[in-house]
Amino acid sequence: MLALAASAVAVAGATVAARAARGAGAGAADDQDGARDTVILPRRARPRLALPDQRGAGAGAGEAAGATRCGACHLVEGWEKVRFNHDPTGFPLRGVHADVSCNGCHGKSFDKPVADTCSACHRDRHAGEFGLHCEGCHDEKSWRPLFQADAHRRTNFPLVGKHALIPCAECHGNLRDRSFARAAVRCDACHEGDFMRTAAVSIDHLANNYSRECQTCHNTFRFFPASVAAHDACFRITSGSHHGVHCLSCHSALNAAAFTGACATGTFRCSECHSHQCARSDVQHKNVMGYQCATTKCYECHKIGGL
Amino acid sequence: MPQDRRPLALALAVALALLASSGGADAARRRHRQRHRRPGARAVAVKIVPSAPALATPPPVPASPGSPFGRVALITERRAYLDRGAADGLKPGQALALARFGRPAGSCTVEVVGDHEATCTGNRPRVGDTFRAARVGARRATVKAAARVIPVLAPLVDEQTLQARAAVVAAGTIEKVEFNGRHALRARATAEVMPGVVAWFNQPDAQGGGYAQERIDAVIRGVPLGGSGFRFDGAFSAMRWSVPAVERFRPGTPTQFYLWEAEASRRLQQGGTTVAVGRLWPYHTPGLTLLDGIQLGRENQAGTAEGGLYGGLIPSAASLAPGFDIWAAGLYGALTQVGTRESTLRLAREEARVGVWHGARTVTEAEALAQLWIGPVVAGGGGRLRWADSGGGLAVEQAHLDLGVRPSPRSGAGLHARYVGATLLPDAPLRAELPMTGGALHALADVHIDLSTRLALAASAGAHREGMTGRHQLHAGAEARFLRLFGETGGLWVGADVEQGWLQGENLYVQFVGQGAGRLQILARLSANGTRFETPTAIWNLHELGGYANLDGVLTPWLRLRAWTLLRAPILVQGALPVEASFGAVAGLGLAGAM
Repeated sequence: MLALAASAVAVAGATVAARAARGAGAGAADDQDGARDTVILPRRARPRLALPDQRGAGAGAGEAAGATRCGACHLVEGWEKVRFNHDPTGFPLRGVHADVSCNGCHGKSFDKPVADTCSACHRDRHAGEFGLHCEGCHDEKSWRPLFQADAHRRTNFPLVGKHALIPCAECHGNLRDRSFARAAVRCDACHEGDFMRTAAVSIDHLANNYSRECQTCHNTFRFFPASVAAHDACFRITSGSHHGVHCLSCHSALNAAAFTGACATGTFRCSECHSHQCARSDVQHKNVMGYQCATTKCYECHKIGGL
Repeated sequence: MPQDRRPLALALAVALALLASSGGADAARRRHRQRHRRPGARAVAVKIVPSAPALATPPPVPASPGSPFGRVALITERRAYLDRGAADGLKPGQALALARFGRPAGSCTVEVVGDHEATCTGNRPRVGDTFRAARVGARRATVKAAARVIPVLAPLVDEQTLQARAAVVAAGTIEKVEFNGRHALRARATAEVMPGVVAWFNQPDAQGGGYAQERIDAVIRGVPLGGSGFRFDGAFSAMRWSVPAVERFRPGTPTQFYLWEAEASRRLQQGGTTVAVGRLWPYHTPGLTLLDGIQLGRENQAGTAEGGLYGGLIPSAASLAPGFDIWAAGLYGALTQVGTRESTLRLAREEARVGVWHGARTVTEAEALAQLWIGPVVAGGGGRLRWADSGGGLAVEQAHLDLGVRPSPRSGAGLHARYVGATLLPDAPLRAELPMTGGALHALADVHIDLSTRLALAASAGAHREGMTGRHQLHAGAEARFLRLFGETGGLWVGADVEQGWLQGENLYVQFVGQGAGRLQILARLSANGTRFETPTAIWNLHELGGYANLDGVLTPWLRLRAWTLLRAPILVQGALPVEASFGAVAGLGLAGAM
């Protein structure tokens, strides 16, 4: 699922989204009660309704001390229909928490505090990878997170281009620990296989000692075509008619594709790919100074492919 | 009277007499109907209050017991609770017009009715909203009850004795409520099945086709196993992939099955021996997740201490297939300290384990976790050490520290730091993956404050550094949330952030969070971002537009729908329009049925 992912400690974007989702519903609680708190049942924010084992603590006038106000939480329609207003406790029961049994969190007694952090109740399936910051990715509606590509920008590896459009498992393969750990931020930490595979499908990057800074030539939205800045200085392939031409279409001798830093102008022949009829070309260029129907001469004028 | 006007006066008198006679006959018929009305028909006479605004303007004061106006006593996420019931004329299905501060505030439909209370669902009622409860039936019942002669019986026990008994019970040291949690409220077995589909699409796609996945996830919780005190918990995922020509994760395995949990366990509220066996997810063993084996421990009666041992086989990290290549065993312990409501230290818990991990090499490991809750501050931290005899030595594999503070109900801040070291376990799940050997450090700080119920602000900043390559990344952002920009429908979030480091960029976004028809939760986000890749020979930049939408719908109380989509398209590459149209989309659809 794309909704899963993160290689860094915390994801503020997802935190924002989670809080946003929570805040949207929490507004009503804020309105009605005027106060929320971080701790369970602080004295100043105790609910108006007594808890089942707060015998007498919340009893109203006229009620005998020690009386258990069952009706404070339970309904006459059934013992299991509980209507306790949890909002003033500082932990409004939203999403799936609304369906959790009371003692699922409170154990034996409502008197014991329960931390309002996720990790106080939930075990960590990520083997400690993300610390105790569960709400950075998860919310209360479902344990399946709303985490998405924008939130990944808060990591040390922003998801740019096609990286945002692939299944999470293509990078985060450890399902046992759900650790979402990645080897390193370098391209070849994941694309080492692709680098080596060029020997079979393209110019042998290893044999030609190409840099492993893949982004020098490739962008993240498309691996092909590559854009080589040094190549454009001699023969433009980033745009124009020659954009998208496979390297091997011209560089049939692979060792000629090594980047030496020196412009290799003059090594190519237009007529190797383009068939020219000199009779026709002569007519078209009859007023062009220095025109000559000979290979390599075309490029003296047509430096930008397509002109 | 002139003689010529006598016939006119006579005709008028006759007409008035007939009219009076007709009215008297109507009154007589009404009296006759009331005398001969069937008892059951009396309830039908309850007045249904229409939701016309003119009638929905009761006073904005809390309703008193004798008032014809009822009040929303409290609300939960799903429903509102009213302080009027059947005795006040409410009945299931009745539409109530709500008023807030004297103004119409929507309506809600009565759901369940008790004698003097009821629940209703509707368009986000609030506590304090008032409504008119027709008390016709109640008044008649009162009149009729008054007419009856009720014999006065002497109390079986006098009031003084009752008070004395109540005082004795209140002073007792034993639990006075028999329903003390040993039975969980609504803690019956549950099951959830979630079928879904996800598709990834890229245009153009050089790798030959996008991804598509059909999957089904199932979870079952708390199935009692006879009267043994054991319960069963299970979870699995099954999926079928269509993948492009090149795939990195589990190539050549289009059908995948993951068994997350199949555990029979015994863990009682009153403590004692705890047992779990099967494919389990052990308690109180930080850093240890799936294990095909057993956990055996002992918990004290107060539930504040537990210790024991664990052992078993470790399934494959990629496929979760059981195997005999890796096993782990060790001891664990956990402590909990609980304060009172008034004490400064409210809660603390500590967990630790020491053990052996035996795979391609034998590793001794120790891991601990602690969490403190002191007043408004929550602090936590932990770490993992591993020691390998055959090379590797001692390694800090992981350490983290989390601090959070909420000085007021409407504000909070957090600081999170984490160190991830190189692991000593040589079992990277992906092929052609280069292991990280230098460790990495990550930190994040965030703060938020709700200025009002309509406006909130948030900000965050983070830093990352990787030891292996020295690459670092910084980011910072801020967000303004207009919580009620669209009233009860939802609000708008506007934010921006910037990144510096090995990958530089900016990101702007607008996000809508809202709901519709009381059954839909909507999150829609539109973002624009720019990224610059700095290389030794050039700086590449890419500007993209992106969108994300998530829809959660409650179809029935036991069926939910989730649909989501992500869109991305480059709009500028190196400052120019893309040579050819490119975009990508991911879409998912799933159902969740709960039983």
